[in-house]
Amino acid sequence: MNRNRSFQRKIVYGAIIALLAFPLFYLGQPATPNEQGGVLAQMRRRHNLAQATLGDIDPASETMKLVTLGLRPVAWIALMERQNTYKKKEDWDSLAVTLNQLTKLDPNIVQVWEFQAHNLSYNVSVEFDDYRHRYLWVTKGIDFLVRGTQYNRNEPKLDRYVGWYMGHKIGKSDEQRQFRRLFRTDDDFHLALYQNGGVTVEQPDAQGPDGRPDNWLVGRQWFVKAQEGVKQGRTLRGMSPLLFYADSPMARISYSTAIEEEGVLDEKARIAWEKAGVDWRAYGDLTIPHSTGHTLRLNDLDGLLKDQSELNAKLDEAVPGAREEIRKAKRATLTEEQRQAVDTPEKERTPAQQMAVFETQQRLFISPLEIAAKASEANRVRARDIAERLYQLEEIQLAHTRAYRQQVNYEYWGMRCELEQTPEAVDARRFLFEAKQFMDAADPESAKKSFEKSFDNWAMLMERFSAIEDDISFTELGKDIALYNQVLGQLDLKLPADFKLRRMYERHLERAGLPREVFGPPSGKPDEKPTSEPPTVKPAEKPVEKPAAEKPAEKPAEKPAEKPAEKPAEEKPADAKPAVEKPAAEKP
Amino acid sequence: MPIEYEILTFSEWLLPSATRGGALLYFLSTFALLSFFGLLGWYVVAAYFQGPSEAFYSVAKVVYKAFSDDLPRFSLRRTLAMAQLTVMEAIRRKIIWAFVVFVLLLLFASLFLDGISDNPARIYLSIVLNSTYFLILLLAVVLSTFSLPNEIKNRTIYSLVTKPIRAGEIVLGKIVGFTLIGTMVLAVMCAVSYGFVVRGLNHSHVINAEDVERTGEGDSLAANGKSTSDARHHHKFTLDAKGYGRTEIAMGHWHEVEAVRDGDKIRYEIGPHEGLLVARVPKYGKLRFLDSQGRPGKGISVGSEWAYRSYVEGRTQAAAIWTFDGVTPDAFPKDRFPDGLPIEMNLRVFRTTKGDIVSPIIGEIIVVNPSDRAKIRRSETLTFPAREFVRSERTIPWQLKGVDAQGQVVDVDLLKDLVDPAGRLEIHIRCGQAAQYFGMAQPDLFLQAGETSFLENFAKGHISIWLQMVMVISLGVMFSTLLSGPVSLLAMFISFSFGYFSSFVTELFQGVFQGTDPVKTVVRNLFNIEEGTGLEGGGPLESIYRIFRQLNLSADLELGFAEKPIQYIDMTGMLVMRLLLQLFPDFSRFDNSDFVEYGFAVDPDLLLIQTVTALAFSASAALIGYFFLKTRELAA
Repeated sequence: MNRNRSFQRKIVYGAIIALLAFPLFYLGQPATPNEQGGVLAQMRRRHNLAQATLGDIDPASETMKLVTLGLRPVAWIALMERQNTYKKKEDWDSLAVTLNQLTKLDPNIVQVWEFQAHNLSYNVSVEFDDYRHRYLWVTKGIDFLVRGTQYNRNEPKLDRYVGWYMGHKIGKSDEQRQFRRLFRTDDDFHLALYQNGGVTVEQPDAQGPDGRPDNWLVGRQWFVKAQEGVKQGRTLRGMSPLLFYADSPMARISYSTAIEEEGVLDEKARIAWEKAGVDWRAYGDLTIPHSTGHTLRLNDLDGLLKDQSELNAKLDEAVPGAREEIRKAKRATLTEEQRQAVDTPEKERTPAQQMAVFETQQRLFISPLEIAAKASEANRVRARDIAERLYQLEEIQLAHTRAYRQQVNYEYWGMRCELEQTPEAVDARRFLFEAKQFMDAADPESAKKSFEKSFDNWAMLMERFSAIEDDISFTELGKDIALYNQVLGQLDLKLPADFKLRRMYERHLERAGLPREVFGPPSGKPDEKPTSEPPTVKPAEKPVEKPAAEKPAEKPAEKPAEKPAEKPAEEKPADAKPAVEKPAAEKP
Repeated sequence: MPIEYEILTFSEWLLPSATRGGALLYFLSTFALLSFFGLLGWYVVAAYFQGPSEAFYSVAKVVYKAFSDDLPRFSLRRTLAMAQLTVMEAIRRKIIWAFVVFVLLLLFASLFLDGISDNPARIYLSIVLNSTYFLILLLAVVLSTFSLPNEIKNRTIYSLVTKPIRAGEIVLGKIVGFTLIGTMVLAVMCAVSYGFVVRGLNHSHVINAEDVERTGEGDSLAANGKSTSDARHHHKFTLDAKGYGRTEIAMGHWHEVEAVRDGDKIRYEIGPHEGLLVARVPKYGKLRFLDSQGRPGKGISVGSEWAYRSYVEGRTQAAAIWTFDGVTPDAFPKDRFPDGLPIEMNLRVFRTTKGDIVSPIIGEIIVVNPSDRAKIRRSETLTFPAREFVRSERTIPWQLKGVDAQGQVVDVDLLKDLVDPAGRLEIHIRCGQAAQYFGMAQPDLFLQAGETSFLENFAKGHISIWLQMVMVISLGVMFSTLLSGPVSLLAMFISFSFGYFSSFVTELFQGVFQGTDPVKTVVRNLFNIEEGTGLEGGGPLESIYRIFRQLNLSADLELGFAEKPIQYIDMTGMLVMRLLLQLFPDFSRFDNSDFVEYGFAVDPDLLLIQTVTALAFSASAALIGYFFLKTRELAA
């Protein structure tokens, strides 16, 4: 009897288990390519939680997740702690292995890929003294990121980071020349890029002037990949679309600048700038969402300005004379000094007057709504309608477009591309390059001639592109003029008073806080005041010398203390590595 | 390879000297103290149950019996029989699962390996040694802690105690049995790991004729070229006129290359990888520093968090000086070292200016005779380019120029003129460029005294794991004689953690006793703790409070009157932990894996020290286990 009971119980348990299997199956059935799967599988897919929708599935990673059971965060902390110790103790190999394990533990946390790739490319790489090792660790960081993109296909930001590291870490480090050279011939890395990231370097659009892959152009391929992702509907998180879309044309600009700095100063450079210009204009045509919700295009500015003037004309037509009347009334409220300040042309205002103008601006501003309020009964509705449209146009579309253009320095880069793609500009840069080579070869006469040919071209370009002359980014040219001045000094000459780029150079000196009295008599006339420098001093050797650190301080005694006194302060920028230095303003 | 402790010779370690007490003294004093307090504690416990006179009688009886009965009548045969039973029991408990896990681990290991590491051998070795270590220790813990308690619980022990077998034989038999099992498992793991490492690192390249550019004329086979890219790397190489050459080092190894004439054509053959699995025998010296004025000093800190290396400033009188003993013609015979004295350096470079990015910083080597009365004082200055994180090898030629006591430049013989009668020699390293620094620690420069077989070294790496296993087994058996299975497992983990994290516990202890409190000062003086050492953030209680309040390590607790009690509880806890720590060996000191991973022969003295420590510890554990079991017998 007892045995019978126990058997019955087993049957009942079996039946209950079998019954429970149905709801379990209904809930938990896994999805297959042909079937949607159970409720849980469907929910996972709907909320983008399924591993397969995020990216590749890695068996090692899945095993690790299972093995750690619920202790993933604990394992995580332990690994992070280890990672820190290895970094502290300079055990780079173990660090790389630990990072691998970390990402296997949770491959879908984007921040880990970002943070650790930065760690490898920026923090670990600088610990090495040999630049080739540094390069190796920069590429390790990039390779790490590339693997991250495979696990996180919905994150265009990671693709963008790859492009950014490839461009900026390789192309803008102190070691940029060496890094760029190593990158060009790093076939193993190129292969890994293709195998892990699907971006080939074999296409002409990724290759530099020598037909080898160029870091800026390969980086650009990744920017384009990221942008394609967004176009296909992936969300761009935590990044302004304005800057995101600027990356790929800026990569072309950086590429053009880089090859010119490396001495590629022919048709190839010109074409590179031309392509950069085309890309930059195309960027201006993109519809970019503004943070307030509406969209805008950077190239629309001219159209908007035209609309504005048309609407203003219409408003004036609807309410004739009102604008002038309001202006007079507002002006009447100003003090005598303020009025005077406003009437003085902008360039002639004293600082006090500039202040006064700034203070009165708000008071003198005439809103279209104010004008519309003065309309006659019959025109009031129409005037109000125009004023509303005008207000919208000015306060939202125009203001936002202007602000965005300013953020990426849109006008400057557009014009710079146009300027640089002229044959004159390429020639001007070639002459500059040659001049510096003559300087290195201690041939000041030839250097002087090349400088002058270059500055002739620049002067002509400044006339054609006058808007760019004032741009702070062009201080680069100021440094070249300082070099020229140095060459002149070696020939016992001074910058002629009628130097074609005088105005530009003076402004450069003023901005740099350097004395402006560097000009001698006009060219062709002898210097009336002989230089006070003793004839024995020969600063000529200075530029040929390598940077100071390369030279052990074997001869401290040989260097007389007169150095700071004899060297005019404006020569200071020329003293540094001219070709490598780049102004911060190259950033968008 | 960084070694953060000083490696002593066996005699230096064992015997007392002026600066240290010596291990022998330490062992004896610990033994005496432990015996005294152990017996006292035992008597107190027994007195609680049996009354003072009865307790004295029973304790004395056990001790007396141990010496009168159990020790003289100890039988090796019975012990071995016990061991055999233990082995059979372990096999019954399916220890084979440990292998399965191990093989699975190895299968997946390659997925975690960094494909483009500079030192793939290190990573492979680290993975196998670590997984072996943890699995073997886990196995040892589980086997040893559950065996006796299970037998007591299942009453199978009674069939044993009725036999004429003594408690000491049971304890020892268990330890020997488990050790046998563990040894077998470890041996198999060692063999499998070796296969895994060798197979994993094995790769070959091919040299295609189109990748080679001949640089010689006529019959010359001189050429430059590169191999194919395999295993994510390739090698460049240069061949001499005879067609022989060696590739550049990539990923820590190189290959021999040979050009072979094949009719009209030339074929290029590339050999297997070399330099990956090695066991160099380093001869370490003692390091001291001179500061920039040439006075004895400590070297400069360049601000790295890890204060392992000290730095010397370039173009000053600052220098790092290594003194080597035993540099004799016997140790470095000229037939084995024809070119000169081989040294290996692993310096760090710290630049205050980037300077010339492409060129390395130049360093200077000067060999100096340590004797003041030597005729020849020092060698000429040899220069070298400083390379970081790679094996930087150099040979100091036997014949070189030197400077004699009068300051004249003369020809010198390294072994004859620059080594003092005691066989000592100094190597001075300076940085050759102003405003740049070299960083060095003691193991960063050594003489390459030769090479031993990698397999042998690999086995030595496993011996250290074996020693730890024996200690864990002894400890486990000791606990299991007194406690139930799960409790002894817990006790095991606690003691193992003590051993494994002992340096952390020590630092924590030092940190807790920092401050002006009089008690802290007393303890600091008692334990010789320097001010300002140890970890910040307080003991366990204080840390928990900080975590919940989200206070950083140095923030004020702002607890008012409750602050003192918290600190005192922490201090008491840490003091107990520190005292307990005395009883457990520092397990991290048994870890020889770094030697194997970095390609250095395990120091024989170090291995001997580890063996003696492990055996002493295991013997004590067995002895305590014996007394525990005796008390249980009494209770039963």
